[in-house]
Amino acid sequence: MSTGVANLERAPVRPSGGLLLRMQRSEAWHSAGRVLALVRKELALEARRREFVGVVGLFSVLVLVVFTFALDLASDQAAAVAPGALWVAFAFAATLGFGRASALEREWGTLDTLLLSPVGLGEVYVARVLSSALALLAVEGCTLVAFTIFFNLPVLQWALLPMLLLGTLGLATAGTLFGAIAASTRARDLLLPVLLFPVIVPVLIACVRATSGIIAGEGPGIWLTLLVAFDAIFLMAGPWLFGAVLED
Amino acid sequence: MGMTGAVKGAAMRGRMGERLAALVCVDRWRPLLRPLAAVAILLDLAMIFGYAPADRLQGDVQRIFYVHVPLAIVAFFAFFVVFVGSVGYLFTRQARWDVWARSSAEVAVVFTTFVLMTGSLWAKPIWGTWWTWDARLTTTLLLWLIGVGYLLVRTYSENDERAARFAAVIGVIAFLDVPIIRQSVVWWRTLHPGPTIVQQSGEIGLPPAMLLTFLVSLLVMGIVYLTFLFEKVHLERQKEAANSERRRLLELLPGEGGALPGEALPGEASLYFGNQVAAEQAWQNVTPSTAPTAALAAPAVPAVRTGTPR
Repeated sequence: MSTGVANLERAPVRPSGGLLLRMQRSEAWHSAGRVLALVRKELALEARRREFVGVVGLFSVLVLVVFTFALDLASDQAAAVAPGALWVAFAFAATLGFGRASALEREWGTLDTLLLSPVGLGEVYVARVLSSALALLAVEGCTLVAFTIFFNLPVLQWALLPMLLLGTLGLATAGTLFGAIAASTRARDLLLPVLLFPVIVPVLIACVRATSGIIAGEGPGIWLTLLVAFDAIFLMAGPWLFGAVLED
Repeated sequence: MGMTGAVKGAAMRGRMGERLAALVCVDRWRPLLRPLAAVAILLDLAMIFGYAPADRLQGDVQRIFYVHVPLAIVAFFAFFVVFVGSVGYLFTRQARWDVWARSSAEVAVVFTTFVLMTGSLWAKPIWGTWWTWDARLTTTLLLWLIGVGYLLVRTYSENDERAARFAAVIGVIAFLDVPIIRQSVVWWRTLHPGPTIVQQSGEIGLPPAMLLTFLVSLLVMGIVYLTFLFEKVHLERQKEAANSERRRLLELLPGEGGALPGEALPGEASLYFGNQVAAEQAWQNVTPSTAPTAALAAPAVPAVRTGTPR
């Protein structure tokens, strides 16, 4: 399997081709190009390993099953409580996924490679957030299909998409940051949920309420505003804080 | 490698630091605060039980309010101090910012624990339940959980410098996130009312005797907070001084040569922790037999700061 150094030689982080990049030489485009390259790398890794989406997706569906027994969601009252079960499943899936991803990065030393390359740590953060969000969205897609089948609730609507994207982005931003912190401590994966869950509460509240609203046909309402505020704060402060976390 | 910048920076920090240090001089206030806090607590207890009238509706249980609310106010202020210290540390990477942050964090978590406990003690007779998920309690609980996370990260970090950095990140996030948490919980409770909407006894419109007792309690809680904070800051500074001396002694040993990662630079330590004399003496106590080998073996510049386990 490729080591960190080999990765650098095989897949240069700074993209060499690209008409767009040659047209616009400003730093922002170069930065975006680097971010996209990193995202491509992470997605390629995930496509080869199929670890995150496969196993975590299965785990997410299992959480739904467990909740069905725990809260007796087999009854007709499911519509009130089922969105909560759904987002708890997503939160647990995120915890598993981010803990694992950060642990693997440490194990393989890809971090050292990245630190040596011209990529800034802020760009690493954005790339990780985007790739984690995409992987999480894949997991959520599977879970939503299972959810519709299990509880017979009309959750797969177009109105779901903005809330799903914003909520997943919120989970991804916080999860990447705290995953990096937790992976560097002695307690590793154990510390991630403890750090993540209190901070992620607004996202959970907003998403559960919005999902309930969408199922009832009312739409997400003001909860989207909350999600936008949460994502904005984390995307603004995140790169700087992530840089502080991964300094050594 | 930025030596002139460091020297200039040190001079500027020295001037600002002197002014700030004179204002919040821990060593000056600390011996005063402990007896003051003791007297203040006794005075406050006397006022709470003797001077303040019993509440017409709630009776004597209401007196917990004089402890509970000032504790909450001071705890929130303590978390704000954590935020300021965290931001300062992330910008300057100087240990003294982190000293204030971690000292205030410890006191803040303890105070928040007492807020939750006194609140529950008050709630059981008045509301009939130990806990309710209204906006304020939920936000306080989440703040407590984040504070505990801050302390856990410090405990489980592999070395002091990482602990300071990670905890500072959490301190910043906590402060940025708390308004959002509060707003989300408020909307959660008000837009979808729970089974019981509880009315708290009004805090506006307190009769003068109660208001005076409350303000005195608030002042006393502030003094107690400062007492604990200054004691903790003093302890942490002694720890920092001990660590920097240990590092200086490690540098004298042949073969070790590395600085303890991320500790205060020798100049910093002596400027703010006042043990310049002790450091000089420790240096001069090196015996002639060890000095030449140390000079040969130790690198001229402190090596890359590896994560030396404590």
